[in-house]
Amino acid sequence: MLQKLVLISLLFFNSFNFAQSFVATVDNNKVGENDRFQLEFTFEGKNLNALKQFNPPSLKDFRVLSGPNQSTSMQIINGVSSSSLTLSYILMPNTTGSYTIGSASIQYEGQTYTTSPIKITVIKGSPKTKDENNNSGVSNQEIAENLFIRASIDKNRVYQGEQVTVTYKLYTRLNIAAQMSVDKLPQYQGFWAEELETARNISFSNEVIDGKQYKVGLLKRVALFPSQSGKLEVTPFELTIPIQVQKKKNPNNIWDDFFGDPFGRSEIIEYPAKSNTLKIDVVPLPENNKPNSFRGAVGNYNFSASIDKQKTKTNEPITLKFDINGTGNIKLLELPPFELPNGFEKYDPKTDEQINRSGKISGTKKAEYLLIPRIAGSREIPVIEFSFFDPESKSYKTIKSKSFKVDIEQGQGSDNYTDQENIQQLDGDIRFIKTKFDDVELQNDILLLKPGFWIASILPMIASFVLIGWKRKQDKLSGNQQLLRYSKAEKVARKRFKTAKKLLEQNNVETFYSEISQALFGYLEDKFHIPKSEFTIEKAVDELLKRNIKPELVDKMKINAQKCEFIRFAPGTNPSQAMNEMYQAFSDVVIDIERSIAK
Amino acid sequence: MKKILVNILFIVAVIPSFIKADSNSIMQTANEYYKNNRYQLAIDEYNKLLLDGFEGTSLYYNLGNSHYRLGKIGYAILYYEKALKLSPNDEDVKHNLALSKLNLKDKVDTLPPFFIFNIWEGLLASFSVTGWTIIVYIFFILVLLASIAYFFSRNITEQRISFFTGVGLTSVLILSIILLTVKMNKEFNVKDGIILEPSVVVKSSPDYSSKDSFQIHEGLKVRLEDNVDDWIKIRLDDGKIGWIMQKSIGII
Repeated sequence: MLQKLVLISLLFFNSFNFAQSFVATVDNNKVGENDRFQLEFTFEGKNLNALKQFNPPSLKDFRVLSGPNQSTSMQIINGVSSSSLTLSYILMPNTTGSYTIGSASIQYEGQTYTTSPIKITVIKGSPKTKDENNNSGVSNQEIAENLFIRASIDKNRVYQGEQVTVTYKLYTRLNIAAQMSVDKLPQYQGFWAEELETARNISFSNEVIDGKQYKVGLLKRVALFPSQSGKLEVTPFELTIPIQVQKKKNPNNIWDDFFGDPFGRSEIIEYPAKSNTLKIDVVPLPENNKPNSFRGAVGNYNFSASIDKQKTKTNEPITLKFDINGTGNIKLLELPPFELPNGFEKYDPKTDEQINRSGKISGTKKAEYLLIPRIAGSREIPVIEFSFFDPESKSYKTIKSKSFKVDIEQGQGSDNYTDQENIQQLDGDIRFIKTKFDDVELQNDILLLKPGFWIASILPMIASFVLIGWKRKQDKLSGNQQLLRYSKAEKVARKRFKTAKKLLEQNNVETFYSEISQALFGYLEDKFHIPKSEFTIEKAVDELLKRNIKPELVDKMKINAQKCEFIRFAPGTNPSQAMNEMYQAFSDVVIDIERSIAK
Repeated sequence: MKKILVNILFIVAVIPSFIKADSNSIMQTANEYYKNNRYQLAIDEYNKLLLDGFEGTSLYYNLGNSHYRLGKIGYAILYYEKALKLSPNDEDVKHNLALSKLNLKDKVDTLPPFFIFNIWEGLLASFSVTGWTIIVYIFFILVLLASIAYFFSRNITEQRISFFTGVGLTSVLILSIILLTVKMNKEFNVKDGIILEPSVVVKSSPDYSSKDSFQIHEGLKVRLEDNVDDWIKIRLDDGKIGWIMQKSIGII
């Protein structure tokens, strides 16, 4: 009736198009005590984005199983579009009686819309009506009775390192429709886990529990090796299993006839299955009678050792083989320690494991040590012991190999080879604590990130820039070109000599002598900071002697300079020869002075 | 003005000395406990200082010794490594660390490094970050002095000497800046850790239900690469990678 009303009202509103409506509906207002029903608030309007502030009514009389679930739809009728927003809840009554679901409100473009309250009558529901009204037709509890995962262990109390096998089995009386999916794998905290082989496809067998026949399938088997003692836990294994259930006909529901499966009348439900949590008590290995060679192996093993030859030469390797086989955690098995006589070098072993993962973990571990004798002589590799704890007999067992005699002859190659690590000798004990503790300070920031560090580095930089800038400015102001002239003196002299050479070729006597004397005097002025106005040959001689220049060189300079002055004003009979001699002498003087300064 | 200055002087000079005196007395008591073979009590005292934010080579070294005496090799190695980080050339620390490492169960193969890397690593390890910062600073100041000398030189010889000295100093400065950068990068981005629990099963992914990849034991040094929630991704020297819980490892 109500649905019809809603339908009519919807039609009514639609004919006015763009009109808004906000209604509340339930799929059934007479519900059984254990039934779920759906409550829906539907808003119809043009612009769903303008919706604000949905206030649901109080649902305290019911249990909310799910919701609010939101769905929107849009439809175009006769060219007019309208959208609807549905907020739905799935509810379940708490007790029988008659209840009212209050009004809900929503805001749309400034206006508030409210729904009218709905009356719900809750009656005592018989299981039959329950099935009829139930969405899926079957309750979870019913499924749980017929389908479950059971985790079991072969032992509740194990020794640390002993294998405990966990088996996950699926028990079902229902049909499994499709592939199940894993939600959560169990967590083996505190264990070393080794997955055991199981068939790829689950094959089911029959088993009777409490008079009911179940189909049983093996899901997973895991071998666990506890790595710590105490009470350990394995968390549940969680799966989602799709199951097929028969649906019963519901004569009250006309929609069923249309939408229900007309043939099988069955339905697929995704059922979340969860195994039980396992508790395992792990006992530590006994401390008494623990052999020295024990390295944590638990199980039951055979051990043998062998060497490939008894006679060898120095630097020719022999192989020491270990072969351990049996049941236990082969993967974590540690090789037995052994002592080597002096003069042997041992390399890390090459190991090979073969593990059988059906039922109890077992297998073989083989190791090959390469031993290189460095010193000739007859040696003996002492007895090698392998110990393990046997949980069956609750005792430690030790297997001893025989000792191996090896004769080593002097081979080729140097025998003074020593292993570098052997030289490094370490004292037996740690050194005493430090009694000086000035360095204990509050943890400070990195120096580089401290502002003080940056100030301390930028300030000197600025200071030096300022200083350099000031110095350069000063130099310019005081016209201090001395330094410049000093460094350019040689260049200038060379240039003058070049011109003189040209003049010599042109036989220009007058200019040649003035140029050549300029070359020498100019060089001396610049190099020894003698102002041009004060320059005399005597002064230059003084300066040169002051700088520790050889007296012979100074004399040579003086003689040539005087000769030049003389010739300049009284050229001889063969001027070109004299000019040549003069040129040679002057350039030699300059070169010699330059050399002795550079020293 | 004077008052403010006095106050500042007080804060700068006096307060640190109070803190210092306090830390010294705790160190003293802890060392006394150690001498009387009461190692757990000594550890408690040292830890007080750590909690207050103190650090120092002697503090870490003494903590390492106390843990060594109690047979906690993982913690001993962790603290020795921390001490070594502060002063990479300390003889005592090196000696005790080498000795503790003899107790390691795991032998992880390391590839022998190329000799040039050895020299480089040795150079990096010779100073801590602070040490390298000070070296950079010294050379920076020397370069500045050389450039001032260059501009103030009175003749060509002085100028030439200051120029070449400056070039030499600048190249040393650049090298030490590079070393400092690499060292800092190592310090802050590359983290190593020490396994603290007697034996740890390493998982292939950060999840208890994931597969076990391998097992390692107390005291092993591993590189930390990543973390997700409480899980840390570790890498062994031989390249093995896995995840372990944060609590079973101590970061150096």
